Amino acid sequence: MKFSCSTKDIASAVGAASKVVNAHTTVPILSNVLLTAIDDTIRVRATDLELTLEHVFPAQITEPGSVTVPAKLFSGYLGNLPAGIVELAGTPTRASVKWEKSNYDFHALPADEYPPLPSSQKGTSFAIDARRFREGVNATIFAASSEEARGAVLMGTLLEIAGDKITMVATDGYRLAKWETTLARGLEDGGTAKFIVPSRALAEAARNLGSAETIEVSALGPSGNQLAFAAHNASIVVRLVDGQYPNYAQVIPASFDRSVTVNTAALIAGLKRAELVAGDRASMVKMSVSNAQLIITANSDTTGNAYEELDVEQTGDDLTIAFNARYLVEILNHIDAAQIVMEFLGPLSPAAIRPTGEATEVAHMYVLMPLRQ
Amino acid sequence: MIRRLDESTVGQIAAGEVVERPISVVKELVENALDAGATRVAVTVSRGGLETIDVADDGVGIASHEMALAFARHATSKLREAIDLERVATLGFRGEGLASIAAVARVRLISRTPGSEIGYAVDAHDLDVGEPEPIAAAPGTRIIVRDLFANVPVRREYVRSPSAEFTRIATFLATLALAYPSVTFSLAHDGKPTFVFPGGTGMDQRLAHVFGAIPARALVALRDDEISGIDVRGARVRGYVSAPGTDRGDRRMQLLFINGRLLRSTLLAGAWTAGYATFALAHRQPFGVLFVDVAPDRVDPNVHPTKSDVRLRHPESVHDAVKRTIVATLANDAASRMRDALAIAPAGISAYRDPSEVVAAAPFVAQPFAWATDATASDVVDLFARASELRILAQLDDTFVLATDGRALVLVDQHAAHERVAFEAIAARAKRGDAASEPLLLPYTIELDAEAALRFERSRVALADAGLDAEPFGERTYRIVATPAGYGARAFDVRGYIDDLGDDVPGLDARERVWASLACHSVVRAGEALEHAEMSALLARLVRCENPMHCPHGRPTIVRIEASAIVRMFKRT
Repeated sequence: MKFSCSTKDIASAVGAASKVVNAHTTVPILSNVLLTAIDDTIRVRATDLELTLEHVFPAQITEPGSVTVPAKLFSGYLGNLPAGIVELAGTPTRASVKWEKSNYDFHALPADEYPPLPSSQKGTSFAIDARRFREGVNATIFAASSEEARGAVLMGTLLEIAGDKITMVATDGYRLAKWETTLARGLEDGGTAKFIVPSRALAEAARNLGSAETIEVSALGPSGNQLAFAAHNASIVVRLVDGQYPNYAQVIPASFDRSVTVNTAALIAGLKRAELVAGDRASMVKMSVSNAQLIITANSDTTGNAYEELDVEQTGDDLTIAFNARYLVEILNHIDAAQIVMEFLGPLSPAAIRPTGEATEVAHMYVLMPLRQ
Repeated sequence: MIRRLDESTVGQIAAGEVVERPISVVKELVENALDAGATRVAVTVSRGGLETIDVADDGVGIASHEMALAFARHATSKLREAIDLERVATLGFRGEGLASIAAVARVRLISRTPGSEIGYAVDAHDLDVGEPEPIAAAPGTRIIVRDLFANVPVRREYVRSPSAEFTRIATFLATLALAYPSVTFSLAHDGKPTFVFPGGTGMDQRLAHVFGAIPARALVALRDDEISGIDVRGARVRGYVSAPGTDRGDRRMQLLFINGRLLRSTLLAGAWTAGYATFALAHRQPFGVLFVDVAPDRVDPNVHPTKSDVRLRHPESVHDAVKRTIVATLANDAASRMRDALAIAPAGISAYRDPSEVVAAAPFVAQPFAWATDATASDVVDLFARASELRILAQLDDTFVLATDGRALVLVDQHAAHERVAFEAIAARAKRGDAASEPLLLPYTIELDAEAALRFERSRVALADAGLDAEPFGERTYRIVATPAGYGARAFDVRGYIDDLGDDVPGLDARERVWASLACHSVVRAGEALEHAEMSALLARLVRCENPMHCPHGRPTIVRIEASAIVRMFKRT
């Protein structure tokens, strides 16, 4: 194969693909990216067998074909090329790259040994506004479990589609994030579907496809166990997490009997300061609500005492409740709103945290368990 | 045809149980000497003891009219009647030592009692015991054993080379000398002196001989229980134990004397290891020597002919005494902490180190730590100052924190360090009944196999104290409702934790094991990138720990490589 293209196009495509490559793979060809020249475009593909990313960019093709190149090495080289035109000629064992007077040969592996793309047999599909998708991913995936300990299901994020509604849910068992919006194109006939997507794949999809207009999402394969996210410039195919997502709806209280509305930035700052003191005590901070005041306290034998007072809008009875400040701050950091509402039922029941003044087409909330002593 | 064995054969068979090899002879004779109140014991052997064994002492001696009786089986001056067996305070007691030796060798007994002007000599071989003859002799007893096993070819074949047999003798005598510091011991082989330990001149020479010069420097004298004020219920424990971090792969150098008798005791070996608890490295053993003194009526040595095992009347109280004395010593001896750090040398570099040099250059660890009961406020302040002198350089392989205090490269194992910090926090909180618990929004069930369920059941109370709320939910199934709160940013790994309970960590009690496992499953692992601020927070918390040098499982947390060692690696000296 042989083609020429802009250094910027190929550098960004290979750079993105190299992020998918697993540096510790035991299969040598998986450290490579696959470049395929066909129909005036170059497709750059990388996979770790769970997730496959493909970028597409235009090129002048003189000889169609494929070549595989070590991802990190090639991306490092391309990242150091100034703007211009680069020519690439590939054989099963070699990729020769020419840019002005610089000539490089990279050892290649035969392209036909590269893992084939998963089935292209499409099933259920829907479309989502790319900017909204990025927001939803950012608002939820951090709450997923980062450890295998409670099973792969909680490491994933649930995409629940009902007609033209999408609900994204992530939880690690202690806190839960839920984000809803309307789809650009819903499921046909108001159908429903659930996908548990590895959270990392959603992050990659948001990063690589988030600048497009809309993202097409479709189930792939005969059993629908893969999900493809596609935009004009790139696509991601990911193997879904197999399993039953817990019934999250039942842990969200249907109603609350008291609430505070508080300035987000002031609350974050107060919690972060108090957490310094609480650090060696499970990051435990106590929040007391009374007389439209929110008092944050923390103490530890080794560090001392913390006391913070914030003015809030209070509804309902007074309350004292304890939280892991780290969890609470992490949630608040993912809310883009000047004020938040915290809703409570009692010191041992889950509390809800929502932004105020959010766009009407989005519903966004967190549920957090209080600590007990 | 069945025949009654003649007495000579009976003697040889019985002797086989007592006199297996030359060292058995030396042991019998030296123990007799010590029982006779000797202040000087001189042992001379040739050809590994097969040709001659000559043991001379300055003890009370044997009167001429009793010398023949000394060779009679079950004749002893140490027991009069069976009741005396209840309170055997002497090393020998069966009265078969000399008889057994005479059964397999030619024995000459020379003795002079203090009141006597001259000595007497008796020759004995097999059943023939000669008449005492007057002879010029120094006060005390001297026994010369020749031609050992000459009449027992089978046993002779069983004996190893003279040099191997001599090594056993030398090791035995030097070891025994540890228990009798006021007695002068000397040993010579084939006309050449092997050692002389003058009595009353301290233990250093003896310890260095037994353990080796460098390991002996790592020995810490046990705090005498009278000083540490520990109620040891009838048992007194003295001795020298290796500082944490200096250890061996086996228990062979765990020497144990009970009432002056060198013994093996699985029970007390366990107590020894238990005393190290979280100081100890898994699968490594401390070394040293313990002298346990208990009232004679609390110990029954009459278990085995070679007297190598002992039965204790109140084993748990002796176990307790050993463990508590070691704990008290390790927890209070700042010097042990210092040596502790020295002992942790990277394998490839240890050869470059001169311990004395490193002692001088290890101020970071040489300080008394805040946990010491006698630490003053200024010690604590000083400690913080030291910690702040550590400058974090980098993270290596997402596993080790590299820091320096300007004099040494300090490597910290981030997982081990964080484990130690978490362990102490968990332990402190659990002891106060102040453990925070993190209830689950989505409780879940775990099903355990029978063995894991048993382990889990056994630890449930300790687990609950630490904040793990698990409800039985059918057979071998538990519903996890709440987990110990917030040890770091990670979710608590219940299953990994239960697996971990299965690993036997020597020296930790049930609660400590729970805490150690909780710590292990709630902290940063190797292979996690840490921010600079995280690393410095970790080090600051580590140095405030009671025992900052090891993780609860005994692995080191900190390794120092002195600049001087690096200088030598680069061959700059």
